[in-house]
Order: sequence, then C-alpha cells, then structure tokens
Amino acid sequence: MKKILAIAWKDFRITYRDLTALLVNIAAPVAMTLVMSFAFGGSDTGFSQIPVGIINLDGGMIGDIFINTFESEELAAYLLPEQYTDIETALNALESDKLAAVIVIPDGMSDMLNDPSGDDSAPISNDGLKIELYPNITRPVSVEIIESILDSILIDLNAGFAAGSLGFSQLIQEGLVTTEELSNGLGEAIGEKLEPIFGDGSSQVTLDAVYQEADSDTGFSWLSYMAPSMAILFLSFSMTNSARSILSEREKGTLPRLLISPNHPGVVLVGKMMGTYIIGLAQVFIFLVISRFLLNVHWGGTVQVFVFTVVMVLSVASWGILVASFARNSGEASAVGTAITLVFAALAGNFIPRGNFPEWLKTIGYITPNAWGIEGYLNMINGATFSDMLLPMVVLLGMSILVLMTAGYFFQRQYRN
Amino acid sequence: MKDNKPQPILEAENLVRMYGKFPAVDQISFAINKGEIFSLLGPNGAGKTTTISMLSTLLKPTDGTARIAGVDILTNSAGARKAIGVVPQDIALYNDLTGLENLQFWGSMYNLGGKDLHIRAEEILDRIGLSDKKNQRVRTYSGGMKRRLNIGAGLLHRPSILFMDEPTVGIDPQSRRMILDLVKELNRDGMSVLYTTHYMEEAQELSHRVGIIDHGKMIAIGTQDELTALVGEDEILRLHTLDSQVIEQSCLDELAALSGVHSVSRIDGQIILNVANAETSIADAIAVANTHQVKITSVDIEEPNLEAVFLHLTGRALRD
Ligand SMILES: Nc1ncnc2c1ncn2[C@@H]1O[C@H](COP(=O)(O)OP(=O)(O)O)[C@@H](O)[C@H]1O
Ligand SMILES: [Mg+2]
Repeated sequence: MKKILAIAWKDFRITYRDLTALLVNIAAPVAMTLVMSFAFGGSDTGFSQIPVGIINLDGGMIGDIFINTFESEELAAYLLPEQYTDIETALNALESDKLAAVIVIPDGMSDMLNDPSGDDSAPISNDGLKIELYPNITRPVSVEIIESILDSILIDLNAGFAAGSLGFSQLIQEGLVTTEELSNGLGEAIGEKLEPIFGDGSSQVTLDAVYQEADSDTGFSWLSYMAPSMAILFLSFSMTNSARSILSEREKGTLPRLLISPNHPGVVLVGKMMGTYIIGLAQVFIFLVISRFLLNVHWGGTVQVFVFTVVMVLSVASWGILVASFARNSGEASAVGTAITLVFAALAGNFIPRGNFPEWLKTIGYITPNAWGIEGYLNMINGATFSDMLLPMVVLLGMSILVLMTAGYFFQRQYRN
Repeated sequence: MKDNKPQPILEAENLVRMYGKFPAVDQISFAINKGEIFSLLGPNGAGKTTTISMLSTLLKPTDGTARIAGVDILTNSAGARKAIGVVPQDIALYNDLTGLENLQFWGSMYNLGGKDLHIRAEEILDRIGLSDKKNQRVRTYSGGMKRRLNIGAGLLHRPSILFMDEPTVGIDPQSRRMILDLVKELNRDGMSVLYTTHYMEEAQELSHRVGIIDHGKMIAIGTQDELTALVGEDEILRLHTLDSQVIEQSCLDELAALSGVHSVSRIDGQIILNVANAETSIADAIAVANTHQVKITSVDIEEPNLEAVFLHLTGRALRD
C-alpha cells in the first residue's frame, strides 16, 4: 500500500508541479464555462441591445418616468424595451430567454406621491409598493446592466424627493419640470429646480426596487449547465492523459525499472491508476471550489457533491485507464483517448444540452460517465438530496468497476512475459 | 575450514530467448563469482540487453534459467530481484523530479523509507558526484549526469550484484572516466558486477573475467589472459587512412591473402590485421595498400587484446 501511494504521489507531483497542468486542468474549464455560457446564453456580453420587458401597472407619473427613461434615446443603444400588459406573458418571454429581465411598476406608485391628506408631517407609507425586477439568470451581465440603470433612476428620483416633499404631478402642473426633463435629466434636474424654491425639506417618500431571486427549479442557467459539463470534459482529457503515462513510462524505461523492483506488478499498476485518480480528484475539487466563488455556481449539498464527485472521477478515470490498457503505445492511446473523449462529450451533451436530442440518442448517452455526471451535478444544483443521488452514484461505481476489470484483463495480456 | 572454490553469485544456465523464430539469446551459460566484475562484450544486437532483461526477471526466458544469490529467477523472481541492482541501458529516470527526489522514489520501491532513505540518497549523491545538483530537475542534467544518477538509482538498496547495461554510451570522456572509476570502487567495496559493453577498452580495464557474445551465443569466456591466448602469438597491425578514403573489397582480400596475415577487417578509416609478426608484414601491407591507391596516414602495432580475440573468433571487428 505504501508503494502504491508512493507511485501515485510521484505522478501527482510530476503533474501539478508545472503551471501548465494547473492551467489546463483547472483554469481552462473555468474559462470555457464562461465562454460557452456566453456563447449559448444569447451572446450575453452586455454589448448588444438588451431586451427588457416593462409592465406599467401604475399608469401615473412614476410609471411615465420609467417608461420614458427606458425608451429614451440615450439608452436606445443599450436597451430594447418592450411594454407588456400582463406579468404572465412577460415572465414567459423571460423564461424562453427572449428577455434579459422584466420590470414591474406596481399600481398606485404615483398616487402615493400625491399626498392625499395634504398633511406634510405624516409620512406617506409606501409599504408593499416596490418596483420589481425579474432577472434572466442565464444573462448575468445584462441583468447587471439593467439593475444599475434601475438603481440610478431610483437614486436620482429619491434625491429629488429629498430636496422637497412634493408630488411630481404638482411640479409638472406648475410648469417647473416637464415629463421629458424628468425622464432625461432625472433627479439632478429636479433637485436643481426645486432647491431655490423650497429650500431643504425632509424625505417622506422613498422609491425602492426588489430584485426577484431566480427560481432554481425552473430557471435554466447556462453557467450552471456549463460548469459541470466543462469540468467533466476537461477531466476526461486529463484522465486519458495521465493514464497514458503508463505507456510513456514503458517507452522511457521507467516502467520496466519499476517492474524489476521487488514488487508485484499489480502494485505498480494500481499505483499508476491511483495516480491518475488523485490527479482527477484534485482537478475536480479545485474546480468545484473555484467555480463556486468565481462563477457563483451553487453546486448543492456538500455531502452528496463530495461523494458523487468521488465516484464520478473514478468512472471517468477508468475509461482513461481502459484506453491505456489496450493501446500499443502512448501515441495510439492519445489518439484513441481523444476520440473517445470527444464522442462521449457529444453523446453526453458536454457541448449542447441533451434536451433536444432524440430519445434514442439520449438513451445511448447513458453509456458515458459524462451523461450521468452532468445530470448528477445539475440535479444537485437544483437541490437533489443524497438519497436522490444514490442511483447515479451506484451506476457510476458499477460502470467504473466493469471498465476497470476490462482494463485489468488487457493489462494482464500486455504485461505478461 | 577454508574453501578455495569461488562462490558464484550468479549462475545462468542455457538461457534462450526467441523472438518468433529468431534467437536473440541462444543457450547462454556463465557464472559470476562473488566480488567479481564480469563483462559481457559484444557488438550491438549481440543479445546483451536481452540477457540482462532475463536475468533481472523483466523477460521470461524461452528456455533455461538462472540463480542469483542462490535464488532461482523463475521460481522466486521477487526474491532474486531483491539481490540485484539494475542500471538500464536507456536512462530510466523522471525528468520532472529532482535528482534527490528520483533517488528517494526509487529507494521507496526497494522498501527503504524515512531517515534511512534520506541518508542513503545523500550518500549515493555524494558518491556519484551530484550532491550540488541534487535539487535540480533531472531535465536540466547533462547526459553524463543523467547516466550517473541512473547508476545511483540502482545502488540504493545495496544489491549484492549490480547489472550495468552499457552505462557509458553517448557521454563525455570525463563522465565515462568517473563511471569506470565508480565501478571499480564499488567492486572494491565488495559488490559483484555484471557489465555489458561493446567497448573493448572498458572490458579490458574493468573485468576479472569476460564473456564474448555474438549473435546471441557466448563464443568465448575466461580471464583476459585466457582469452588473448586464443589468438596465439598474433599481433595487431592497425593501418590508419583518411576517413574519406575509398577502400575496395579487393584490397582487403589481397591483404588477407598475404602470408602471415590471419584476418583482416576495417572500421571507419582503419584497416585491422591479425598478423603473426607485425614487423615482417608491415611493408607488404603498405605495398598492397599503395597498389589500390589507399593512402596510409599512420600505422600502429598492438599486443593481442580482446578486440583481436573477437576478430580472431568471428572474422569481424567489434564495431562493424
Ligand atoms: N522485442 C524484440 N522483438 C524482436 N527482436 C528483438 C526484440 N528485442 C531485441 N530484439 C533483437 O534481439 C537481438 C539482441 O538484442 P539486444 O539484446 O538488445 O542486443 P544488445 O543489447 O547486445 O545490443 C537483436 O537482433 C534485436 O534486434
Ligand atoms: Mg543493449
């Protein structure tokens, strides 16, 4: 056992001693996750016009200001606003990725600005009246931009209120500001015009917005889809690569040297396999942590994610080892390994979600550890519990054992004599 | 009780290794005594590496067997492996580990560990003159340094017999000198050595006994004196020519036909003759060369050596 670990640790050290391996095994899947999710997520770079749905239930002044602002020429380069009359339709458009966000201006927003009682000292309650923003979580950058536009409108308006406690309608009626000005110059204009007239007053009304949390059960996130997918894709590359070192060690003469040490050949072989396995474990666990903080991917419950990863890596590693067991040299192992990796990736939906695959193709996909892996991680992201994950874990473990046994058979044939 | 009979550390019996129908090693038998340096001398492709591979249990003999330190390599291969240290012909080290890390890893494969291993590794590094480079990756080593570390890795577990397969191929003269001295030093400390080479000079300098191997067969075996006696009183006449010199076969044939000339061969720009008396043959040989427009730049006369033995036994030079 000590020698198995010594061999595995030696391979681990050789692999991760160089920055290149770290970059390829860990930084590359992170980068690819970002690139792929942007590529598929409707080119969400924030540089094209962002489609935003607006539902104006208010019908008063505040509603007008928002509509005018979002439709203003200054923002036309960035936004593609579209008005909806009911929330249902807007949210459907959001879910089918036609919109980056939906903004709802609730009914009665403007009314609360026109102090109905005329009593200056009584603060007006705006409880429960908040502008709502529903984000499309697959377009984080666009949502970010819309949020900041919304925020700046709110800040400006609130600054205007702080300057004097009076209703907007009043301002406009008195010809102090035009709706046009309100929406363009916003609070700054308001503040400037009001200050000389009213001096400072006290804020009685604040406008506020709530940002709706994305619903993880129904919301589809490209980042969350691509993260497990890329983790597994790059894992398969590094696993064929590490397993291949059995062959390159044979070519370089270090394997024969290992085989003439007073150890059972099985010890050497298991040591090499173990090396491949721990290289993969390190790669995936580091990726899980990095993607959690860098890409904000919530992987799910720690225990199930941990155990699932342990079997998933084993099963991907077993395929790399199988290739190494029957390839005649490291060049062949590299070619076959890459081919299998790419075919598996395509079958399993490592590049595009399998949702649109025909049924038979989906079924075939289940021969790959990739499909079980991606599905497993997505389920855990969506809240699958440990017992939900038992089946995929057992399947992955079973597949690993089968594949490793086959590899063992080929190794025996190759390394006898 | 004094036993003068030498104790064999290794006995090979009728070792055979077939590749298909081709016998790479054909019925080789020899014994190496404790404390002896035994050289297997033979040209490339003679079967030296194949023999060592069988003895180190990496290759299964097609036939025959061997005992190392009294342990049969077929029935107790793990036991035999403990007794041997192997220095492979091709450098077998991890380029991305440092010299020290390599030694520590290989030591751990031989059940060494902890402080013992560390001390032993440092000791070896000192012995092979790499202490100051121990923390550099092997990738950065010169060919000679790699060769030395390659030897070091075979010494860690203090084997009772060391197999060295052409350990000086392709290195600078200084490293070669260092390696040959190291072999002699190890031997002085009591280690038995099986050394293969195609350099006559190395076998000559190192060996207590030599086995000459060609085409998979052991064609002669004995001490250097015993072997050179095979050539009789022959001397060697070495004619140097320019490297660019064209030497026709008819010239060599004519040289071989001269009286007193026993065999002729050529390597690179040299014509080598086994002759009964160099002084009497020298004028005739140069005359023949002249008639064939072969310009002789210099001539050496040598006492019989292993190369002459090989030439005598096979009619070919060692480095054909
Ligand atoms: N794996 C192999 N398959 C077929 N022939 C081989 C193999 N290994 C060695 N040989 C042949 O066996 C002969 C002896 O080789 P080897 O033992 O390496 O010679 P040496 O070490 O003396 O140069 C050579 O003719 C070589 O071509
Ligand atoms: Mg050889």
